[in-house]
Amino acid sequence: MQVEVRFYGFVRDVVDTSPLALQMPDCCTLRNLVDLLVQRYGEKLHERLYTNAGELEANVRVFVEDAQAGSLEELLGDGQKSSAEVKVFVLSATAGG
Amino acid sequence: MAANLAQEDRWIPTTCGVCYSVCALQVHRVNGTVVKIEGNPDSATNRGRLCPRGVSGIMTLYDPNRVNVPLKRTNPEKGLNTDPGWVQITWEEALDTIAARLSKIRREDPRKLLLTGTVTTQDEVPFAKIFAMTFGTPNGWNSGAGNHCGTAEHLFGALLHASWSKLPDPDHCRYLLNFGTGTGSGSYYCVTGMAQRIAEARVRGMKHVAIDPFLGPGAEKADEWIPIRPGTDGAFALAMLNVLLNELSIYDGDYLKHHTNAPYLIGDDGLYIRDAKQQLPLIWDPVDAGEKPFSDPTIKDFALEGEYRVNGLRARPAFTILREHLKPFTPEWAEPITTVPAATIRRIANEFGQEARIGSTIVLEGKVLPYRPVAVMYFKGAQGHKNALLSSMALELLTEVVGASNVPGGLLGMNSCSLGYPETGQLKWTPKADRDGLMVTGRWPNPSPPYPPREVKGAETIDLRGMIPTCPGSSGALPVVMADPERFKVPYKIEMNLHVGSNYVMTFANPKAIEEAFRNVFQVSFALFLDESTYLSDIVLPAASYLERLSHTADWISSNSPVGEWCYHVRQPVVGQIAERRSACDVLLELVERLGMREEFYNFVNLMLEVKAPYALETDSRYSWEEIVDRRYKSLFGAERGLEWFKEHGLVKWPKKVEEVYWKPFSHTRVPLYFEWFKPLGEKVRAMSEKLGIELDTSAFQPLPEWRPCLSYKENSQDHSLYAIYYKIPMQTFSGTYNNPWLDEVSKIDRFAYGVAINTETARQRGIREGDWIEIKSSPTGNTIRGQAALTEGIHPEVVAIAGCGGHWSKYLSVANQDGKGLCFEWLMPVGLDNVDIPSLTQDQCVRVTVSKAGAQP
Amino acid sequence: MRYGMVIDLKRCIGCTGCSVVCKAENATPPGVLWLRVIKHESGKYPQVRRISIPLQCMHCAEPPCLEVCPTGATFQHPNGIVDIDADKCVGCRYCMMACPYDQRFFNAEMRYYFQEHPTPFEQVGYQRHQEGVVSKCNFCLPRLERGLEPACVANCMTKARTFGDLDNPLSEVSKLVRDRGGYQLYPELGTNPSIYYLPP
Repeated sequence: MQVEVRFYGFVRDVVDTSPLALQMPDCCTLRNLVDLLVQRYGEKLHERLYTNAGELEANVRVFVEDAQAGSLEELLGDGQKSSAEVKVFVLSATAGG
Repeated sequence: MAANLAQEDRWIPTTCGVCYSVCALQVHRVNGTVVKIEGNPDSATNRGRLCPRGVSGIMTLYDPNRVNVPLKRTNPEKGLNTDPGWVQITWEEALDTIAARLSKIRREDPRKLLLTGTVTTQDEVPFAKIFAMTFGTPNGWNSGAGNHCGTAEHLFGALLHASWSKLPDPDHCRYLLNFGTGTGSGSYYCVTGMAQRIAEARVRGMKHVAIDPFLGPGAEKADEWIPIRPGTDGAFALAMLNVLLNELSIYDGDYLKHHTNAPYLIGDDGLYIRDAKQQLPLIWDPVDAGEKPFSDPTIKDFALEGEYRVNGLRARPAFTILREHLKPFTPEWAEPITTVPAATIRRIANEFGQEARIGSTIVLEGKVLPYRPVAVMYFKGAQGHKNALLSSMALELLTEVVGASNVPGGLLGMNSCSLGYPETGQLKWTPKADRDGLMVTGRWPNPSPPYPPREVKGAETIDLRGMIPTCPGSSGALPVVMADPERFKVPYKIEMNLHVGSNYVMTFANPKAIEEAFRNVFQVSFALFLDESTYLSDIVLPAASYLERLSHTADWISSNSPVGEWCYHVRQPVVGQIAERRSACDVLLELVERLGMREEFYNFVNLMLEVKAPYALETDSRYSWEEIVDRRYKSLFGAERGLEWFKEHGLVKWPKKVEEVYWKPFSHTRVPLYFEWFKPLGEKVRAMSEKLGIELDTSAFQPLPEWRPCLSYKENSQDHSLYAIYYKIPMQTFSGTYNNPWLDEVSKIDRFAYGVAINTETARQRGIREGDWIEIKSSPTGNTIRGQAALTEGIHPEVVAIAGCGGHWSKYLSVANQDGKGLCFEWLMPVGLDNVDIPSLTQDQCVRVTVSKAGAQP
Repeated sequence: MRYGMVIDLKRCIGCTGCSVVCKAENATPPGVLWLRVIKHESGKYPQVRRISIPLQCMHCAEPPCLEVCPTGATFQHPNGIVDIDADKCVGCRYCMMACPYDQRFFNAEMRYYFQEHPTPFEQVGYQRHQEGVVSKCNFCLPRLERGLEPACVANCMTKARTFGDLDNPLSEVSKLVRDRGGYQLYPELGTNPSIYYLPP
């Protein structure tokens, strides 16, 4: 399937934030996608997105077709869809109180 | 007598912006001139009343010192006393210059942008945060990290109360222990509403005990004032805990078993003992005489005491370890540290424990709830120290052990639990439990709450927060790292500061050191005044004040009263545009366009401001700030309640349910009594700092409280030096109100507001009389400040106390910059990690000084 | 009918909100503070008490200021409010000397808070004040006429102030004075102030 990915926020220093078109297997999870992106951009992106336990950091929000993903194990494609739009937000706590 | 031919006579609902409490206003405008600001009686936040600062806003609106046009500096040399040589420029030139700078930085490395702001600006700063986030920088600094902010207190707010801050239950509390806050006496959160409610509590007989070096505005209203040496509140609290648990055996066993990790079994390594299968923390069931995962439905009871064997290893409930740990901290141990007699500490512990009425209940809205009418409040005074984390922990545990956390009568989070606006179900959040059963905050003003902790990372931010995830907000390390990023292995330098209304030069620590950190940064300021921090600016933009701008963002959770009603307001301009002043939100939207980041920004706005379909911003349209506010209102409150509705009605409110206010008995979450994860986190921080070659003292990352001396305590006082401290007063907010002539006039009447409080005997020994000019010389910075002595019996003899944040010197503040308008405490306080609590990145605010009579006033 | 005010020092936190709202309501010029809050300290360290005491015109039933006024500018309304007719005041200031509470103010010449830059608020508001005359608190008489409480009462954020008819034993003010031990300042002077304080 065709997946369009776009990164937002505190990640510009490690990735290209223009829309990115990727070809993914028809049945794949979000984790598959994020892993592929990490392969492409390397350790720095891994560090920005993941905890050491392999979960998304609390300040990372992933949206598939404008719905926030609850878990990386969610299916991105179920074999039916031919395309998906994914947005990855990396929030930054730019100031407190 | 001439007839009054007023063509216009309107009352306009809006919100105050003089402090972070964001009270509701109705502003009286006659023929275009604001003639009165009153509290909006419809609002649950302040119930129709205002503090002096709120009333005084007219004089700031019309202050001729205000910045009215964009300015740029012509003097390339920057300094705190160096005239920038301002010349007027057009908005067009200003925005061109700013956009070009931003564009270049975004291309090179967006982390080089810093956002500074203040907590009083609860609309523009949050919007600017979205801008900065979109831009791609992790760097921001609220000057509140200095003398305003309760950094470590906010951390425990998240860990124990699922909220940014907390307040005593004004309706039911009967015994308030107040360690250095102005709750109910004109400062702190929900300032006006709480002043009313705490006044009611006084009349109905709530006892209020203030522990404070100075009999200041908070302590004056207490039934008992207990003077204490600065920075030793943690020792007082530890001794109280020890008396409660080990001498009196007063604790709420039921609460500890079901709502804390007190029964969790701890191994000799200091960590939870977990079950092999699911890795869940174990507890001991004394009925079945065996260990079980904490969430096992077959648990018949939780052991709080004893010593057990699990898998052949010693296992003790966290509560037992806490009790043992506290034994050395006797009142006799605390007496020489705090200077409070052991008998007093014992008596207060006993009063507090008895008044907690453990086991009693109250029926509210037909629900039977625990009734624990005691609360412990603390903020900057007690926790603004080198020992912030461990002192705050001790203070918090007082409330926890007696089960007075988020139940009637006790300490309430602001606002931990919201079941949502009834008509739309929006604005809904509730604390949840993680796998270990520990509470995760439902709503937090920053993108991720301190728990569960983020991964410890290298120096990706300019303030060590990337490495130290327990810092809840602003970091006391920022000026240190910013001055020397290489030392902290930060791979970039801050090149530009987007400065949204904060006089950070005067509100953190030694202004000279702050100047060094900021002087080489291109600074763009949205400013009301050419205050001291704008002396370091390159461009100053004329900012619209809170009375001149629009915003939805008066919904900062800490302005809502903890009890009563939910209330969300509108902020709207009460006058037409004055000169060329503009709202920062408007200007930021224009910069978004110039930088070509509309698509990204709108996506962030939709996410952060919860603007949902069908109101979500579409990236192929361009929206005005008004339209964005309108969409947010409709998304939260329904199609009928858009901006126009809010402009007319001012606010929407609905009653708080008992499950929202006193949410703890309804929640399955547990809070830590034993901060198990601090230790491994500290080890990670140490490993990272060693890897990067940074010297950091990580020893305070520990699961149980201790007391550790501040640098000022350790310093030898043979030279008869004193402690200098800072405190808040009800007639000034931070440094930002000192040019208001009405507030100036009332401050002049109060000898403490602009003077230096000093003990009568201490003064006599130095030949100082009332009203004498005195010099206060900082031992660590060497700086000297001058002020007039205000002699009093109501201050610890080792202490001088300085109110607020006066002592302005900007030549553009015609009222504030005059002699005798208060002192800037921060000249005394050094910048450096030696004075920062590493786990919370709290900046200390007590310092050793020598005090002497000054010569003639220069 | 005798208007009076009860100030509950247990509630009062000394925030000076009353001083400032008085300035806003009455547009009093610089140096003219019809309402001030002072602090009073007693005891020796560490047994110390400091309280805030708001002060304003006491609207005495027997006002010493009235007796000394040579022009009749100072007068008493039937409702007990002691007032000044600025048109009759010649600025002799005998009344200021006579007032045992130091609650009268002389506005020698109109000044502005930002010197030569009167704010729009001051341009409008100061039309209500004359130069060379004495002024003071009038219990916000114009507000009373509109059915409102005095500004300091309406705005007090601790609800420390209660306004009403001291002659009516059923009024809130009378009840508070009775139930909470209300007292007047310097009762020995025989001025019989209409402001009562409740103990802290």
